[in-house]
Amino acid sequence: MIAVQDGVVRLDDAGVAAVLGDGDLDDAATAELAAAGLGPALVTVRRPIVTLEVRVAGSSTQVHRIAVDAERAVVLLAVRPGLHQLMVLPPSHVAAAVVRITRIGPRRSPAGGPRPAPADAVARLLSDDSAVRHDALRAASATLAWRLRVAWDAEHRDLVVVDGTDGMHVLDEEDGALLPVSATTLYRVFSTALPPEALEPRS
Amino acid sequence: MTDLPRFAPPAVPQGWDKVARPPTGAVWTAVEPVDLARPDRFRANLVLTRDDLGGLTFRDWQVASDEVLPRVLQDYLLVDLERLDVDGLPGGRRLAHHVDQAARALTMEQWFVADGDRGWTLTATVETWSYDSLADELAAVAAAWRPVTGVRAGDQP
Repeated sequence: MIAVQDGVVRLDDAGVAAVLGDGDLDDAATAELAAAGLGPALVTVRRPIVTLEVRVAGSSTQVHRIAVDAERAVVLLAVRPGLHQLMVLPPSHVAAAVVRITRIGPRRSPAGGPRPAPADAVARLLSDDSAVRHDALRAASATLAWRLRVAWDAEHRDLVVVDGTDGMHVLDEEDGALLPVSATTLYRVFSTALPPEALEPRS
Repeated sequence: MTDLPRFAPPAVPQGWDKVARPPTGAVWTAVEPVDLARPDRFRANLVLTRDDLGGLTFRDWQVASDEVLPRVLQDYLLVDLERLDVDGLPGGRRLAHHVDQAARALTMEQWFVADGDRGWTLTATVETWSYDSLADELAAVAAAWRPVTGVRAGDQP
């Protein structure tokens, strides 16, 4: 399902798969997207310079996707299970979009320094199995975890953060540690996630 | 001549220009030089303002700022807010994102401190895509800024 109403584009899981090129995008859906002026957005999603995927895990899990080229960023925002919204932004607005998706913001200063990460942290913190996920979140003293994956060509980089009452901590997988991190530091990462050719204003 | 407050400005970032006539409401301004190849580009800037607190506490002053900023800046999004010492007094730092009328994504970083009934705020505004490259220098300028102890008789813009 892909529905365009009052300029808002809503998609179900099959609609997202179709837009991403993993499923069938029928002629009616293509025509509807084109009529809404979203033909170029479809090109961006299918041929991006870079993609961002944010997997947010708390009481449930959600996957948000952003495809970026030099002209635009196309956000496939997970609204609730089975429902997504497609939005088109200037590429320079991606950092703010990731702030909203990850819900970073001012936090109390972390109480201490680095602390051990739960075993097999990434898989467990981001698990679709709520029992596994909640157990890992408790072990990390967190209520929310998220992974930002920035991918281009055949490469990708991941950033995994847990968020709880004593602030945000970034996962250092190599050392199996959770390191205190500020919203400012994360914002600097978000603001540099895209390559310059997708961000710098053109002459 | 207008009776301008005495103040101690921060250092001008390397290569930037001090503005001879700051805009209304500002006591001091510095801007990034014009990019001659792209004269319409946003120029990163530093603006120093002084509020008369009229008996407001530091906390009330900042609560009021948190209420006003989303009303005056489009798509305002607070990213970080912390207490820190500014020139030896309790002050703070705020980081936020907003959008200008040309839909440019901007990042605003403020350092602020209250000195009695005077509230000093140093505001840096840069395009978000260039924030990371300027952040350390702007933070160094703010860290060296002495709005209270640096005020000298006769300091004028």
